Amino acid sequence: MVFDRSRDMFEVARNFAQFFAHESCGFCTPCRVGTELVVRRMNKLSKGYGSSEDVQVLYELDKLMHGATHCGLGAAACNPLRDTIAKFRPAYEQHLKSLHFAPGFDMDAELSQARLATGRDDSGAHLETLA
Amino acid sequence: MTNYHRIDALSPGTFSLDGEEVEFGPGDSILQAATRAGHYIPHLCWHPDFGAQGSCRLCTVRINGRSGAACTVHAASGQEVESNTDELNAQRKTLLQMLFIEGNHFCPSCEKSGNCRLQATAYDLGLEGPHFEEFYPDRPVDASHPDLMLDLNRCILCSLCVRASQEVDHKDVFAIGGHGIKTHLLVNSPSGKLKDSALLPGDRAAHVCPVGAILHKRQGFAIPIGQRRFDVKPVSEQVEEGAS
Repeated sequence: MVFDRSRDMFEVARNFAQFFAHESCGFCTPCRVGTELVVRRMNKLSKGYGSSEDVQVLYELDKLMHGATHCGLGAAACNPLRDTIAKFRPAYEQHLKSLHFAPGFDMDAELSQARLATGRDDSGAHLETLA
Repeated sequence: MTNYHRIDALSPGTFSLDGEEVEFGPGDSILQAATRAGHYIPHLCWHPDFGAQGSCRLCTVRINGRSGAACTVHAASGQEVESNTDELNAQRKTLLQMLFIEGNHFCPSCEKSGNCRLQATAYDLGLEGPHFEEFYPDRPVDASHPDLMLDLNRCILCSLCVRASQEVDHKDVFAIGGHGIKTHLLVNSPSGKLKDSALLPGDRAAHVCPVGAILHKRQGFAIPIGQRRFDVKPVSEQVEEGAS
């Protein structure tokens, strides 16, 4: 496919994502849910709420759908996405909240409150030492 | 349905599953042969009594390095099948997470908890959370039938009720409709309600649901939580009993 410089390649990929979510027959789990998850991620990025973590999730969904879907539609649904991320990454990065923004949820930090409340500090109360 | 088998699947033989030799009979799928031999391959939409569907994709294995659903791929001599690998189990976890987030699954308040194959498979594979954002779809509950209730919030579109109704009850009470994320279970009756369908509590279709989508009224919590099928033994250790 040929696009001129005036086209935002992220928007091209988002359009593809919507196309595949609409075309999915819904038979198998990875395509039915995966195409919808891709659309939601792309819309989140489009609104400027995305992080590099979301781009990582897109990669993971692409990998899963390649190996697990019932037919070629689901397997190919992420191809436009993968190609545009690989070749037009700046088009994606300008939609990120910030290049270095990482969603700030630290599970162990959250647990510290529970440790205080219960007075526990044994190995079972820390994530990294949890059996 | 065409009864098409590859030539090499017409004669019995053995294939290797995670390094162990498994015998198969003519026309067996990999999952059929593995189950008969007492091996567990995670699955939700497959049931030994019905034709294979291949939609949940939980049973996806690697056959000579290529991905395929163990329930739909015919066993053949000399196949090298990988199933219990970190990569495939991670993929199964993601598929389970997808099934959880696309519906409304609240195990603690569900009558099926402990008898639910989705829950049991998730426990068995060590699922810790939904990972993806939950969709919280708006799905109706059909309580119109005097003896049965249909809660589509828990439906995972395995189509076991569709197949049971067609193949065993010969009634065609259920069907799958829509497409994409709007795919949903339909009731074949003039009003679309269960009360106007031919479904009876003794039907196979009324007993085959692996999750809590089709429930019998006035039978709640007859067996207490903690003593139910998958509370007693994990799903991977109940292979000989087949799918629920």
